[in-house]
Amino acid sequence: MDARHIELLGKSDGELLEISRSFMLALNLEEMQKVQDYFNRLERNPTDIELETFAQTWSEHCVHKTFRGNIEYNGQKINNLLKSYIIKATNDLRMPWCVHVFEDNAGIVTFDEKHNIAVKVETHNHPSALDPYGGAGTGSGGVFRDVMGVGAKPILSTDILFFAPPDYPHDKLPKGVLHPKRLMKGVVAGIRDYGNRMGIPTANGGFGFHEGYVGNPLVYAGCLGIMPKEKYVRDAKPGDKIVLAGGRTGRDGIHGVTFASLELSTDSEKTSSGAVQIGNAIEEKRVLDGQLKARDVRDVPLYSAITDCGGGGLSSAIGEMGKKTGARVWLDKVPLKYEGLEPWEIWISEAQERMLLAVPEANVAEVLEIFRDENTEANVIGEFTNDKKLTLMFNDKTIGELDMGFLHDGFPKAEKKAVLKISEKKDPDLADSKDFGMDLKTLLSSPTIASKEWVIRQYDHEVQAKTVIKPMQGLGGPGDACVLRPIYDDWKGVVVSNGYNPRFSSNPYNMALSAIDEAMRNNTCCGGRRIALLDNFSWGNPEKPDRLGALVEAVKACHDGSLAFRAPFISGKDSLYNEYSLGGAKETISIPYTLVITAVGIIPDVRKAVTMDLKMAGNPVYMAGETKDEMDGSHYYMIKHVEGGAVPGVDLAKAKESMDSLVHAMDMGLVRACHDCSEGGLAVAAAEMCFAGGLGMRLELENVQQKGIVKNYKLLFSESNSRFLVEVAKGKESEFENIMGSHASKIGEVTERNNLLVTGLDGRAIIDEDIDDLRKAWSKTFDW
Amino acid sequence: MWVVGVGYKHEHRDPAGENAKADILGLGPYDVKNVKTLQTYVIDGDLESGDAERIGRELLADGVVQYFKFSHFSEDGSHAAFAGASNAWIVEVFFKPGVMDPVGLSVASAISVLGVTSVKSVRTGTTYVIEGELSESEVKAICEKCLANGLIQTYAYRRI
Repeated sequence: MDARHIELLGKSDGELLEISRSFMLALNLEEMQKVQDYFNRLERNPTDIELETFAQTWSEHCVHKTFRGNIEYNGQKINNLLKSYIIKATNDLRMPWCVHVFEDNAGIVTFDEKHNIAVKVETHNHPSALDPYGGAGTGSGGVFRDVMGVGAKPILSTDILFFAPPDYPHDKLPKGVLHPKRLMKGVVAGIRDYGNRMGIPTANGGFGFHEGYVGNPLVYAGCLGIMPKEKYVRDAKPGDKIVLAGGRTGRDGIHGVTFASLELSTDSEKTSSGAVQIGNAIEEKRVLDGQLKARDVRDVPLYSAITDCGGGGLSSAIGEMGKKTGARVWLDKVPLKYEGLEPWEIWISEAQERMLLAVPEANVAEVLEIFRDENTEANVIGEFTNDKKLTLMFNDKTIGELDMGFLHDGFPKAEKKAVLKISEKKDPDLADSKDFGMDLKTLLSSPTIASKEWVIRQYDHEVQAKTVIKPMQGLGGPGDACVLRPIYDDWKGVVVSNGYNPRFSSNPYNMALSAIDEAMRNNTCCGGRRIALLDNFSWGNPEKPDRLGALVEAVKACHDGSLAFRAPFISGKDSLYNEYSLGGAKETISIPYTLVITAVGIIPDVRKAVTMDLKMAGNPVYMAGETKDEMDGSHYYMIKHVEGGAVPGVDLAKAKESMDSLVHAMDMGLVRACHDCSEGGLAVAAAEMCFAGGLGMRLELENVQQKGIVKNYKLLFSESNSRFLVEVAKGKESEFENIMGSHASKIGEVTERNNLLVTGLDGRAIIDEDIDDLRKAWSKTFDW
Repeated sequence: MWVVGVGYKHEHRDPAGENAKADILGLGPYDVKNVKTLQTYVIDGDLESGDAERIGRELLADGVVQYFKFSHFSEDGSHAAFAGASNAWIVEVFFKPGVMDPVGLSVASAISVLGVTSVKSVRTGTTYVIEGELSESEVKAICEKCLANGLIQTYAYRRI
């Protein structure tokens, strides 16, 4: 085994690109030229492992070229999208409870006096498209390790999935693509097996369905962990040993990271099997137990830094950890699954279930012993130095030597162009339907809205016994957020929710603002406050100016929303290049622009958390927020096969005030049930509250706060933001109204009768449906 | 090499089989009357038949609802007769070499915990017994579209 030298000096631009292509480096010409310059200065050719190190470290996955690059947008120059907007909002807000944000594997905020919580959400789209079971499983395993990588213990898994509709016709399916139903079953099984086997509850999540995901499903895996405040360390020192713990290294996931920078095509299936792996949750559990013991056996952890091996494998993990010091790695000391791996393969393998620790020499024996006790392997594979160099050795021979500074800061800033294209379409302004009851049932059966009980019951959402508010509420209705009580002898809780609205893609600014609003209001529904946000973008190819323009708009909305809600972003991730080409066609299809916002709030006393099921007949029902003529991207227009009108926006000042008031009303014990109006609008929210509570509801549309609407269907089904349906305790009306001010009006009451009765603008009944029929419509779609 | 098949006793439901049947019928109007599944373990190592019996009983099968059978592994797949069916298609799906099989690893380590130390490795797979009038090309389509992912799995089918 030895490293090969690759002829790079003196090569022409065309030859450089050919080298990048044939070694699957996914480096562009400018980047290849930078690498060539570097070796020109050293007056030697690189070895294969050195070239691979650049490819990994400079990959989209690791450095986020697009978010950190230069963008020219409608004449405006943006230098670093992330810093200029998202991180800027966080910095401006300066919340004292933000502990470590945007700098480690996961965002860290305080929980109580003794504990911090760590949160991370990742995408695992491309691997899941090829092998849904393995791809989703390793996605979960990877995000758990992100949280483990800051020294926290994972206590919640959250997964948000996007597919084409499950009844997509088989004969329309592009070649080389798995059917969405099969994808969904495989992904759910992958998440289930990994989370359940590791004993991490999957108690939150979501689904979105849209034809645009047919060639490119999206799998977002998130994790929340908890840790004692003083146990966070991140300071590898020269002389510390590099300890690799956990699974053995094989050829798994070679080029997984650079693969993520390329678009999928019908050939992906054949060329990318290295990118697909099947995870071993039991192994990861052993590593977790070992690292927690190494953390807690003394007052201070036995390690001085810890991180996970994720994308890019050892190359990224060690490169990052040793950035400030330097590191020497003995690749022959890495335990292998089987013989025959080249040194560069060992270096970039993305074999799962591995954690990397920097351990002071005096503690090494104890750390190795701890992992051995947990039945997993740990080995010293190198050491940190003070020469600011990355030195790679195999059998005492140096096979690579790179300057840490150049490796991490030498990559050329991407220069990209962006334009905004918004095509406004006139609202179709339909005539009011003759059968709103049927419309409502059709909406309840549509895949995004329909019951996900089939999925929820496969996930263990109770393990660890911390889950207070669960995914199914009352007799079975869709909860807005999940509430956990992380510390057994304290009532304080964490509230986790999410928001996404890819159907609003035609106006990316409003789409992003809507996602933030939805995540915030879902959190509010259960009583969450002091909310931290995470952003996760899945986008089309950023080389195409219209895709990038949409991204810029969405990022601006994140900035504006974050400031207005006083909810800082603490972590984020992007997955770009989610496009799919058919049978070698030039034109690629982008997925709908998908921003998933995860909101993490706290609640001082989980006993005051509110659920969405109706509680008692006779209680008044209020609606908070204003309904507007904003029907574009709505599920109602989707089932009516029309489009046009305005995409819902957010009145940020009002939204913030209304949500704060609502939480205050909950703390005062005035609110018996609360549910947000999102997909399917007011009518769907009301139906869900009814069948979840086993009670009826009477609503009067004429009392709904609204702006310029003359049609019943818009009041029933508009997806305007910042709206809630609230069941208030009888007799507490005036107290509630005092707190809510102009933000809420009474629109009906809970009834003993088993039906949802809605009267229209002219006072006549327009919906009168038995709640059992509504529940049936909602339950049948995923009765798999 | 030994092979152990674990299936559901006939008086109990076979959820994996029902699921597979529903998926197949979702592909098109195939003549599929019934699908049964056997979790299949190929055990590489010298075993006494008493050991194989113990592994099946104590480790792999839930005696309340499941049965197990074992035999020497043979390339012609005669062990598929475990399913006790006739006039059916047998489809076996296994991971390709090189693909991680975590359940196989767990089973191998559990076998050594039972005190049987001669086992080198375990590979897991699923055997489907599909009853119905299907042509070979239909079976192939079913394998590719629903039972096996060609990227990580291989399949073989045969009529009994």
